[in-house]
Amino acid sequence: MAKIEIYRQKRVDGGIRTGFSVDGARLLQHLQAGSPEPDPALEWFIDIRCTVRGKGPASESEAQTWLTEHSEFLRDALRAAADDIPVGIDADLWPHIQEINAPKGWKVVVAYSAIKRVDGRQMASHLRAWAKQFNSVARKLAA
Amino acid sequence: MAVGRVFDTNYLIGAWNRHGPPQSLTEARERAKQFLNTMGSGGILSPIRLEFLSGARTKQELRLYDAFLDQFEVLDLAAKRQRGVRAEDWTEAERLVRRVPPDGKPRHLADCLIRAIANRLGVEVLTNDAGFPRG
Repeated sequence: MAKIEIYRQKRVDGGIRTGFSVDGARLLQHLQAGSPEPDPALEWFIDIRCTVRGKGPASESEAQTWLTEHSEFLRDALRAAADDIPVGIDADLWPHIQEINAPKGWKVVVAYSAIKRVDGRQMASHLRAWAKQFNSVARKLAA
Repeated sequence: MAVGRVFDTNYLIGAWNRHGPPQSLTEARERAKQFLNTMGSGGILSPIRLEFLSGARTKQELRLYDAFLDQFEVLDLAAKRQRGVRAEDWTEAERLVRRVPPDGKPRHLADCLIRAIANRLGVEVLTNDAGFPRG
């Protein structure tokens, strides 16, 4: 079994980092820069956590291929999480975790958290925005 | 390196106290594993480790804290070419300490150092600490 995480997280300085990791090791990432004064504290994060049969991608190119092959499912997972979001997201240490209908042999959850209380619609818009830009963001990811 | 996310001390304290403090080494390890399972992968930084340890009030509590913390990857110690706290981290931490906010609130050394290391390693910090030095 391999644990694959695709994550997107917004920093207080306005930067947004997107990353791809396998079994805890980061293979790909991209930081869309925020303000010139870096502030690494997070405002919110979204994870797509996949547990899949067999070995996960082991290199940058394999990770890119994996993302391309599964992009439709991953975008649908984000949209499904957005559709089922609660009205208010309490500021809590623990993220909301939503299980997604996944292919056989896979277990997939979308986890998201906001550090300050946010309107559910706001978090849903972050999920949908990522779904919409998923392919263009994925192409920017590099080792 | 683990996912680019670091749990600040207040998150670790939240995990520790979530269902009452662990009473055994096994419970302490399990608490950390449950936390990591819920939060997704991530790690800590060496000042966060020390800050957490500094809260121990007895030797037994210190042992439990060690068992809990051992489950977390210390990202600045794991980074092969950028190992540990470096001189540039102290320089950056001092720059942050010297930025007096309009409300005059004191800056905390650990928070400034955490921010400096996080910036260098390119990781983000999960913190609910209002005192975390802002940009």
